[in-house]
Amino acid sequence: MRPRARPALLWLMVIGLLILGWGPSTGAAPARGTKIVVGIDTDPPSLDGHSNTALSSDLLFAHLYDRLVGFDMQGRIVPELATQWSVSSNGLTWTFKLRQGHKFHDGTPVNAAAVKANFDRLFDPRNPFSRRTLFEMIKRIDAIDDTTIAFTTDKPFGAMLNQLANPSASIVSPTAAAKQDVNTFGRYPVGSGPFFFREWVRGTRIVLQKHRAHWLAEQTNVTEIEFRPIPDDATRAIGLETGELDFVTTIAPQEARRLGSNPNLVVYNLPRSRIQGLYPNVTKKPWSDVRVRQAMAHAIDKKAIVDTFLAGFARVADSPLPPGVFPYKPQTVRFDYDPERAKRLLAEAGYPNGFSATMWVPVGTYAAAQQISEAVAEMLKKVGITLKLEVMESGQWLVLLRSKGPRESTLDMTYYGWGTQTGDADYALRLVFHTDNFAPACCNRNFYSNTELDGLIDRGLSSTNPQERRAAYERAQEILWRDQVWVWIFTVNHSAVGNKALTAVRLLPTELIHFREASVAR
Amino acid sequence: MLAFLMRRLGEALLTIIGLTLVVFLSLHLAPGDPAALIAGNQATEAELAIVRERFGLNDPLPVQYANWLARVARGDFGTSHFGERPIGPDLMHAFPISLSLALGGLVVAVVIGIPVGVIAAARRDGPLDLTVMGSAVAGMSMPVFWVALLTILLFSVRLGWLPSSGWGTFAHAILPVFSVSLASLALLARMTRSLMVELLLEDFVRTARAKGLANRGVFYRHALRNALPPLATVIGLRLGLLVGGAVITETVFAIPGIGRLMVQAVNLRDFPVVQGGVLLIALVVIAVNFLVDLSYLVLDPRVRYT
Amino acid sequence: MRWKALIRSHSGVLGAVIVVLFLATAALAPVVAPTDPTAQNLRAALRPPGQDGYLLGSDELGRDTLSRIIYGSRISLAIGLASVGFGLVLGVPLGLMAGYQGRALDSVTMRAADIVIALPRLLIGIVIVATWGIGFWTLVMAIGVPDIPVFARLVRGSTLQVAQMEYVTAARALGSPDSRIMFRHIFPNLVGPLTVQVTFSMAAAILTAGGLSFLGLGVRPPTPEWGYMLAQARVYMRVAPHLITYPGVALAVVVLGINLLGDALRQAYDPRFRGKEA
Repeated sequence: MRPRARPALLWLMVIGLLILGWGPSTGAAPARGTKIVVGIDTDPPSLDGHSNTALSSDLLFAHLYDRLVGFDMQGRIVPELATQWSVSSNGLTWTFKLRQGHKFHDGTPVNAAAVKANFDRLFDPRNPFSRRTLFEMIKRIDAIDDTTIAFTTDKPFGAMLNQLANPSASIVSPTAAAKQDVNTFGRYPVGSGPFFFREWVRGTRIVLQKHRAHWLAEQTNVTEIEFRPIPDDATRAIGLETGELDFVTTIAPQEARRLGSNPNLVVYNLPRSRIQGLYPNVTKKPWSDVRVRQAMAHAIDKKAIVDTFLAGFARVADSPLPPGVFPYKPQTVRFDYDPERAKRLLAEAGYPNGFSATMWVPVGTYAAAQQISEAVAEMLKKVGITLKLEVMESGQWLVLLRSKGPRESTLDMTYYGWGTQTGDADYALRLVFHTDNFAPACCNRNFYSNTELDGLIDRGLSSTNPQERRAAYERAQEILWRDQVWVWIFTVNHSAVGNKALTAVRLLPTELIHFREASVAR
Repeated sequence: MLAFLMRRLGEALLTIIGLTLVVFLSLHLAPGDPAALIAGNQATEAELAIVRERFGLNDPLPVQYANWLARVARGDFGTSHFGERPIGPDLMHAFPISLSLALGGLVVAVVIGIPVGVIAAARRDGPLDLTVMGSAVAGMSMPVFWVALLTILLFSVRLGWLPSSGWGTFAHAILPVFSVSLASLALLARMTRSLMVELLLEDFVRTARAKGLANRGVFYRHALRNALPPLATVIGLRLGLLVGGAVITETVFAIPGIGRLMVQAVNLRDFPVVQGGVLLIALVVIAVNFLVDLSYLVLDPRVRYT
Repeated sequence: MRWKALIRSHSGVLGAVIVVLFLATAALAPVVAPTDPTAQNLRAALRPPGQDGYLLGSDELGRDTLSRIIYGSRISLAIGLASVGFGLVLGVPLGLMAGYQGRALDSVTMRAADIVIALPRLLIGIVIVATWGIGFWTLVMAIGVPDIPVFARLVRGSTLQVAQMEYVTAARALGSPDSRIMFRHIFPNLVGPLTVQVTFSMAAAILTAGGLSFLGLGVRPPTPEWGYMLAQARVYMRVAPHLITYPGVALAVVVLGINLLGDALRQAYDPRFRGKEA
């Protein structure tokens, strides 16, 4: 009887194994060739080169598209689509000479008409591109001949080239963009960059393939890039160690430090023009009182935060501008850790017993945001300020932050950061602090308004004389710092990690990371 | 036979109708304005008016319900208020992934759990049985997300054998499927054992033995066959838990399934996605329960034409 | 049989001991915990167990893991009690009425129960949190709602049995009011099965609470909830694995204890149970 009984069990096992074994490709990792896999933290909202930029989009733009000019790793302007440029003696007209014979991925020639069509699209009020404010000083665009294009401004504009090197000035294929509506183009983008779009599976991967007709094609042996959104830092780190990922664009400093000891990996700790801090709505009590903001600055032990959460990858902020942004100047007025002083300032402001407030904490946008916020809350508690932390998903947070003007905004305070993607003070200051840029127009989302500051920012914008610009921006930094318009805490570096075999990755001081020139060593 | 089928089918349909009603009403039971839930809590009054118009929120509830049902039946789950895109394709892409995760977990639980239970019953009250049953209670008590983290810690981090995130290859599926299955596996092993032990004491098995069948033959042929119907019920009931486990496991392993989609949607208060996700999952659970009922016909000789 | 008897009693005793310890920890948290669970010390962050006076190490903010786990027992207990209470308060009367009155009420209630039971607990939780937003009472509701039909069904079943017994029909014939019959005669018979179900529901509630908190849909920082602690610890998995280990052990041990106790109770109340697991 024994033999008859066994098959029942055996069959179950066999069927189980069959079911288990059924499935796509088993076993060993496939040969990679020169495909590289890059771990990123979030899926980009859109791949439309003109859309509002998130860092995750910029990263993709850098490969799908070219701009007229770009940055190198020192933050200098270098040619991309434009090979030469000049500015007229009155400082109003910028003329660019375009690269000959370059084509978009769909075959459309990259010529002056195509570039002009791009700016027309960007400026079209029916299109939802809020970053057009970056280019609003451009009053006229002329396609002089097939490869020459001229931009005319109404006033001299000092940061013209920096602005055109911004990812939002990416040049998209005008034929492809005209064929699709403005929402679907962001899903199926066509550009002229060194890689073309192949596939986007939301939340899983974006795959780009080499554009062989690109002028950089000879320089690099990378034939395919896969960007993989992985929200969790630890998981990205493990991916690097197991070789699933060749590069991770951002990773928690603790992880980066640990990965540094792995002989196969390289840690990139390079300047990045990003500043982080607390962002109070200055139209609301108690933040409307400058003494309250100064008190917070004294109540926070910034050095402890930097040492604990960002060791080696950040430094305590000493100006509203991060080092590396023109013209950064460290401030002499200091807001050192001094809880007693903070309490005095609060008492002077009429809050001897402190107060309660809510702070938004976006998840997955900034390194260690939640931990830093909890630490800040504990420090502020010691001077009587009770912070209720409202942790929220970054998408919801952005919408809350972006879409409302000073009257309707529900912002009390948030943990916040700003990266200067042009390396120039105009971007760092005008967008964030000028009264004209109150949300929802742009990015003055805590509604600070100061006519002297507006004047200085305007003067910096409308001058092409570096000395004059420097003077205006240095004064602007003093005002902002004294007013503690944000409670600035630290400036932070790139903390990226890559496989040693991957070379010539570019990490720009403007925050952007790209693989346009990258190669894999065999 | 036919009558039995029709009755079960009718019950399943009734449950589905009740379910759609619950899912539909949940949006309207929520405090505040359903339009605000759809449009996001930062929409302006003008935007809300557009939303009410577009989603027919000015209609009486029964009309709205009928319209919504008709749209869902066509596969139109509405538009995500975040990013203004139809959510049908997103759900349809994520759904098979979650389904294979949950079903994979179920298969592993059945394939390992039942034999383990049988073996434990055969060695009743011996050290093996006690070890297996002890581990089973422990396995049932471990939260799935903790199991998932521990497996990552061991197999990805320490040993480097398996990938810790993503989906698509067999290797990617091993850790998540194991995590999802553990609790059900433990429960099935326990159930199988206790059923088998009990059945072995029953008359018909004794009779069979008396008729001269050797110990093992009796054991498998009669006991296991009689244990299958209650086991099938449990398997059906477990599916809900497996799906719940899959929701969490997807988050741990960064698997782009429906659970991760829904959790993100909750964070965004993107209600149409939550609604669509719940409906899809619930439909599968109901369908499986229906299949379990049908399986009685095959498995249990006593249930016929009733 | 000796083996069996030994292990049976042992596991029940073990479960009871764990549950008593859990309750005692929750009650005496301020006495037992070495420090304030929210007190930070950034200079001593991510310490491994045993170092700098942190018995179970410290987290990323230099908070004492042991103290956080000890205080976490209060959160788990509170959520467990509140949500099971929620399920009882709504489920028991519903089941009593359905079982006693029968007919239309009965079939409507039981159909509705089928629907809720068909849905995964966690999914119900997600829907409730999605509509009502994150918070303690939402969490209680999110976890308690799936228990309503479970209790209702159980009570209905027992009520149906008891209602047909002679002494109940006799009481009814003598003109006792329905409510009196329900509470005098029927309810006492429900205590046994209900106690067993409450234990299992507690275990499920604590697990679900951990799951929802792990997904970021449960408690808010800096509440030391075990599932939330695990979610926070993920980032530091490599550098501080103790942050993953201990809160998970706490959660698993407590649930294990409750399950063991539940098994023992079930056998005490119903010696010939037919493997009807939770």
